[in-house]
Amino acid sequence: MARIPYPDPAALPAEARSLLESLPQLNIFRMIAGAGASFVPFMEFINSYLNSGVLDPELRELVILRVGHLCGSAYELHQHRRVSRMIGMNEERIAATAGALPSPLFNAAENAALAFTDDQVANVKADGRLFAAAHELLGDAGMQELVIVIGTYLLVCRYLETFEIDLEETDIPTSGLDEIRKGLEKHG
Amino acid sequence: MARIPYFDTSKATGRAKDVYEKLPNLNIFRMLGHSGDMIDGFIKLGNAILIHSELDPVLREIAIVRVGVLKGASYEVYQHEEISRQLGMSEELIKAIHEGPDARVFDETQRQVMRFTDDVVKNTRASDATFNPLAEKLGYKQLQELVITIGFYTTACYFLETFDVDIEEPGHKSGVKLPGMQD
Repeated sequence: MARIPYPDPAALPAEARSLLESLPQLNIFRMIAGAGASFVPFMEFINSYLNSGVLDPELRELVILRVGHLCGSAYELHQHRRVSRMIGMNEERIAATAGALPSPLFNAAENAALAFTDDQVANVKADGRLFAAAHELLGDAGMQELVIVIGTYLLVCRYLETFEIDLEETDIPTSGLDEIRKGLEKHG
Repeated sequence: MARIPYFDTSKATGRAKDVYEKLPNLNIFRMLGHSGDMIDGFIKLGNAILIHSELDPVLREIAIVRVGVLKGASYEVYQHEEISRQLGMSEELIKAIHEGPDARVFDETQRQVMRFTDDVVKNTRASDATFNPLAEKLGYKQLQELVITIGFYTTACYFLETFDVDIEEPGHKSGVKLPGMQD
């Protein structure tokens, strides 16, 4: 049971209610729709890297799963394992995000990004050699997106765990990425 | 010295170009330009937190500076102490954010925000002891805003520290203008 009640959609401002209606039916979105002025910008922000980012989608999901393991967030891991499967990642690679690095199941860029992720989360300012190794493979734009994605999923895990967002009884049938994109497009 | 060159903001295109026309002149924003259109969403979320949220600005800045202190992010602490002063916060109150929740200068709500911020940053899930009194005092919407603020500024700390964004020269005019600031 979530620690605070999910907001009643009928009581939300019109803008938030209309965006929520077009998003995938996930409890995190039901709850964060009640976050006031931050809700719509938060969705625009996550849509920017989920649907128009420069990072390879599988690399991005591996990093998100790694952050989920580091934070111990069951909801985050459940949803992003689901997204990872939907975008075609195999179970061995998904499972390896909980294991030792480097992994033979990951390519050079993925191993570099995940080693960087561990260091970033633990030390705030990532080690120069790990930064350089990932930077060489991902470039300036990729590195900035990587750092922001790591930070954002720390935010998401803290939000999920602190409000104790409930897992849905039934999984949504799609990855949800297209619905997020279309929801924001419709929203303008 | 920053770890990679700053973005040449005159080369911004698309949504990023519009964003740069309105942004304060600060090195964090110059650095963020490499991320292309992503800067647009990042800045909108930052603006929602700083300009449009219901959370009291002093409580918000206490949380932001505390995150900067916990993460050792000198640029974030520097910029948000400037904002704190312009909101009318005393030097004693700003210093107390470095000391910890037990500092005498905090009022009850400020102390609860300090404890909650420490708890979320260290433990991911806030304990009942820090969560319950604030949920009662701030209400659900503002408590959500507080968690999002803590999370967003943690991201900012990682970005600032990992790219080694330089603090501006003394006397630099950033042009930051937020609700509640004194002229």
